[in-house]
Amino acid sequence: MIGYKTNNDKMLTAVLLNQHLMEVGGYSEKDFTTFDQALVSLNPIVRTVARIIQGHSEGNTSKNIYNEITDYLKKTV
Amino acid sequence: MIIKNLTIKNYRSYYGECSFDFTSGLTLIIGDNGDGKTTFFDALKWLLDPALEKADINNISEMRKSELEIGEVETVSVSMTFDHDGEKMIEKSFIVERVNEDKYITRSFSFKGYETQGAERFPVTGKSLIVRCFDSFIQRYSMFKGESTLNVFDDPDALKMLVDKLSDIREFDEYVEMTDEFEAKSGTAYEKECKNDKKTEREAHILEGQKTEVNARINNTRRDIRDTEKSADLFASRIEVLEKNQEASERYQELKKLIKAREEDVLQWKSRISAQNFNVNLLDKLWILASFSPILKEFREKASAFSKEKRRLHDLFVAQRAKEEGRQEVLDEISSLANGTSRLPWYLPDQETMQEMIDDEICKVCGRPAAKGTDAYEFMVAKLNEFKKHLEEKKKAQEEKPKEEELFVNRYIEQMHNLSISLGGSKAQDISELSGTIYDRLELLETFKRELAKAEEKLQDALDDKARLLIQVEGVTEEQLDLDFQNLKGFFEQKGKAEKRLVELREELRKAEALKKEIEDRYDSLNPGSSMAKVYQKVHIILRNISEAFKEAKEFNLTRFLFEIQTLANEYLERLNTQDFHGIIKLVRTSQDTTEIRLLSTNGRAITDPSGSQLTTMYMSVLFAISDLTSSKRDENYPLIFDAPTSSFGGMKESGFYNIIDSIEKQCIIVTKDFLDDRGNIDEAKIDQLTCTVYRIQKEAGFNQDDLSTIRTIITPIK
Amino acid sequence: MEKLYDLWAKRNPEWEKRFEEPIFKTFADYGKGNTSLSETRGKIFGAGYEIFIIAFFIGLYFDQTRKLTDDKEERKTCGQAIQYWGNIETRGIRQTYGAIRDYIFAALIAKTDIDLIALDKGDPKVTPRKVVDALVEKMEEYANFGLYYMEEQLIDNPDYFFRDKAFLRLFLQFIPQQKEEEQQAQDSDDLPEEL
Repeated sequence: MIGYKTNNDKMLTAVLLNQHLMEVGGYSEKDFTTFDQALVSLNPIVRTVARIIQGHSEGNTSKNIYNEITDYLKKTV
Repeated sequence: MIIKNLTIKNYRSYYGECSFDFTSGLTLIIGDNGDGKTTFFDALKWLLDPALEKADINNISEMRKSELEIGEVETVSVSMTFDHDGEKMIEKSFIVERVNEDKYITRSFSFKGYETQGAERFPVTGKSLIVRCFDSFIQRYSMFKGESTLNVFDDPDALKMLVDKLSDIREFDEYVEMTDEFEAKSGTAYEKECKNDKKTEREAHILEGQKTEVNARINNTRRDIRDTEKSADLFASRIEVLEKNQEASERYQELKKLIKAREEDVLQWKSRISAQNFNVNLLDKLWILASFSPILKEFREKASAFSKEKRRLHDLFVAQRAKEEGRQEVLDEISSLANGTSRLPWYLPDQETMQEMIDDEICKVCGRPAAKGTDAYEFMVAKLNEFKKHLEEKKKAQEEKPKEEELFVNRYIEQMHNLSISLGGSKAQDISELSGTIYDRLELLETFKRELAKAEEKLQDALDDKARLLIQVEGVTEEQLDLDFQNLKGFFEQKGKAEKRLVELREELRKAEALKKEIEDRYDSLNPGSSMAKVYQKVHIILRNISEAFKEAKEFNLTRFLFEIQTLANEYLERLNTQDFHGIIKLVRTSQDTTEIRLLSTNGRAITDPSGSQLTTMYMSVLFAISDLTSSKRDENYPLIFDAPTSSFGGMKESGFYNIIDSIEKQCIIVTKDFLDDRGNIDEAKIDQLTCTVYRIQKEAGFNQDDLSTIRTIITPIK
Repeated sequence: MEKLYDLWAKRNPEWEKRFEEPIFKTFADYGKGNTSLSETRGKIFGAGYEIFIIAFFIGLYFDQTRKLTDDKEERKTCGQAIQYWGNIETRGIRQTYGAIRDYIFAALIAKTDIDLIALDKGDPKVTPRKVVDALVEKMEEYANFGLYYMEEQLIDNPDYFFRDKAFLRLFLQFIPQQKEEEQQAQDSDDLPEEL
């Protein structure tokens, strides 16, 4: 179901469809069909972007979001 | 949303209850400057601005206010009925009460409305209705008062709001800011690690130093750019003001000269008047003698009379004396005869002859000798002596006589006579003409006074003109008008310099940013030994790429949005352009935050100085496009309310233009000066051609410009 | 033999002291150096004798005299003898008007009862001195009337002589109307000649 696209959905797509990012990140469109899926994606970039968007729309401070994603990245990379 | 009715009651120039009914198409409100167009907008704004929650005594119609008796109250209100998912109404009002002769108070401010659901009406606060139905965004893009508000992209905040509300994706700015921050933070963390890592420590230090330096340079340059932009803007706006007021400025200079000349005139007349010193002229110009003529006459007659009398007496006296003398001689004659001494008759010799005869001893009368010692001789001698004696006596008598025999010893009457002569003739004439001279002078003074009054009036006219001129250029003081005009050239120079500097600065910024990128790349290519550092490096690279991706996405969003508007706008432009003009609207990014609406001709060249009608059409096309986007986003239409700039369409184009607008499925309310001729009368022929609703607003005749209480706006439905 | 005119011009006519403050000092720069209430206003005339002349003509044109007080203490003279009257050093705007002396003299001759015949005859009862006395007395009495007249006007209306052109207007009323019309007729007759 394509359904209604929230702003988050649109934001995610707009960012992840960046050619250069795709190259660097090593992912494709298939990897982020839904937002929720992206949140738990194995691709670190996809997941990071989703987390950023989620965190902001939930109202988290940028500090918290930063710490969350950097912790994750350090472990994964 | 469709506005159905707007009612303005006792608000500023709208005396009493003034009502406008609107259709779902176009409504034209026609009025001249000062007729109430601006007030129409102000009333709407007052109604719709939730922040305006106080009753302001300045808002009541002066005419109504002046009518209030002590103790009387009146309501000031603006209300609007509209369809927005059912009929709704909103009203803002307050009450004005006259407390005494000079004092008025306001009270009972209210801001309320109602909405309908089905057949029922529910009261609701004004504020909540506004927030739901006519929020600030809608207001910003629905109501346009004055030309300056039409260029909707001129204001970066306005553009941002537009993008936020209407573009596909919201809140890019915040994400961009945030990811930027992440990039910076992770970068810093990485650099720290590099410094600690033996392998890269030295280079990391160097790079850090360079980075700090270039960052500082970037910040300074950015700040300089901002300052210079502000300067340039300042000059640009001052130039704009000056150019707008150039005509006024020139007129001001003209008036200044005129006023000076007229002031001098007035001074001249004043000095001419004060130079007339009438009291002093009584003496200095002998004006006091104006009625002296009869007295002068009296004097001359008296002098003449004295002279006559004197002569008469003298003549009498002389005649008398002559008579006396004559008698005396006869008497003498007789007396001498009586003495026996005979007088020698007249035919007898004179003294000389006698002496001769004696010396010669001969009587030359009878010829007989008369020797010395003879009786004849003695006789002659005796006669001679007698004669001599007689002569002497006569001589003596003659010498004595004048002294006791003159009648007049003084000559004072002659003096009077001389004076009389000297005061007569032309001098007497002068005196008799004095009164004429005086009256002439008085009349001249009156003339001077009249001329002075005229000159003062003319001066006042010029001063009034100047005052009116200053009112027209509101916001500009007289000094500014005077000085700035001379500064125009200077401003142009300054602006030019600022712009040049901007170009330089931007180039510097670009270089610095490029340098920064270089440094960052060098960082990235460092090969640290420790794993920690390597991890940070990777994290940093990822976050940097994410940050850039967000930026690009934002940029793309904006570009797409502008393109969407541009396309829509051009569709409208096509529809609105009735005749010959064909052109294209292009939305051009002028900086990070602002965009310009530009008009290009079909061959792609920019039209640098579009005409009034071209501008109007251009802006309206863009605004229609925005309105379309708004409608599709919110699933609700919104009206466009315009204060039309001078459209200068000319000819029949106006009707055509407005008819097209009427055909567009949008509610438009346009307040305009169009369709009025030079004298402010409606052009019936053109109005006939219109398909839309038309109202006329104008000041009621018989008003006094300086007395607000005589001014009221009359609304007349025309169509 | 000195001229009668010159004898008269050497004299310095008198006026009543009571007029010094209200008239002389008010309307003329008389007795400069004294402070008086009228100093704040710009004086209309200069020397004191000018007021005397004005007063004289008022009396002359009304043809009314008023005897001066006998009390010598109550009499004052103007600063200068008649022969100097009208000889103002031209201070700015004023002009000399010495000719007025001739006219005053002529008026006095006309109006004073003097027997010039007897004078010319050398009658010991009618000396030049006595004749001049009579002339000066007439002069003083005309002026005295004028001063009384001015005083009365001021009592009725303190502002009387301060109004615009007050003195001129006073003398204009003596001009007979026909005279004015005659004058205008005469003037218009003059015009062609001037052209």
